[in-house]
Amino acid sequence: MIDISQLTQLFEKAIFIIGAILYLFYAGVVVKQVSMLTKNVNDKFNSILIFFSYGHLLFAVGLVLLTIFLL
Amino acid sequence: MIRIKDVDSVAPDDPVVTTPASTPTLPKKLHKKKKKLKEIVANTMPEYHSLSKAEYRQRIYDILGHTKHSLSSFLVKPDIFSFQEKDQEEEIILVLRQHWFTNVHWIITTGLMLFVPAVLKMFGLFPNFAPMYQFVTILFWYLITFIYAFEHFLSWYFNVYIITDERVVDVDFNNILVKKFSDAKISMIQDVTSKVIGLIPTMFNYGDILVQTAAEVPEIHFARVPNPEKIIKILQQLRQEEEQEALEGRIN
Repeated sequence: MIDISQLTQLFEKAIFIIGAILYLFYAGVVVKQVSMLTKNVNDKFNSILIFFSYGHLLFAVGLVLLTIFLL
Repeated sequence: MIRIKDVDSVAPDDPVVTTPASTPTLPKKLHKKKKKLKEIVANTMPEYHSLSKAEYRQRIYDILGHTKHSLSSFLVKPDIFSFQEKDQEEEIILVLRQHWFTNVHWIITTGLMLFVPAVLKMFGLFPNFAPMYQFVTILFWYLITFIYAFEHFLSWYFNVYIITDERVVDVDFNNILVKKFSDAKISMIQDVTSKVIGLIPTMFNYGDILVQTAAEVPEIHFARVPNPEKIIKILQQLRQEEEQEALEGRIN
């Protein structure tokens, strides 16, 4: 028989995982956005901005893995 | 009797009166060779001598001065800058962004967001999660803070107004799905208006510039750009340069 507290924990974990996955999709959109912006307007700091966008995407991936394996 | 000089009828003791030399006039028909006509105009009507392209350009750069740093809102002839619709031979004279002060609101908000988890913990308002959940929540919050600041920076950085030697360009990115590109040739500019309204814009010298054109895009709006008076002056110089080129084209 499943304990209510276990159910609550599972529910919380599911919320966190879903939230992290949605955020991962958003991070992907940001990478696409920066790529489009840098194609349209070419400037000195474009490479830095692309680096930040990919770094942010990696953090989002890390967040998803964290929620799945550590929570 | 005063006679006109005429070798056949002048007597040895007659005073010789020479008719005054006729004043030089422009030929009635326009000369086919471009160089000769320009020389005639320059010699006989000096008031029509005009500035060369290089002189106009020098005047413009004298007005503009130098770029302070690469993240400036007022980039004069940037070394590394291009846009997708730029022509090969087009020269970028000025790149404008909204004044840096327009970023203050989101910078302050980002700063406050960084302290939110610490403040909540201090006052015991942090949700009663397990430690691991708290850690993930804080991580998530800081990622949101980062993306909030990043999106605002991207919006400021890539919404540019460009003045080239041929046209005026407005590039707007409202979000990922919306890109708006407007341009108007310098020769099509009819009217330029500048507005500096309010205490802070007056203190920091930034405002709006409305460029009315005879092109398909009737108005190009530069919002909250620095040094609006300089921008108006260089647009005036560029228009004069275009008018002169048109005049020379007609003479040619």
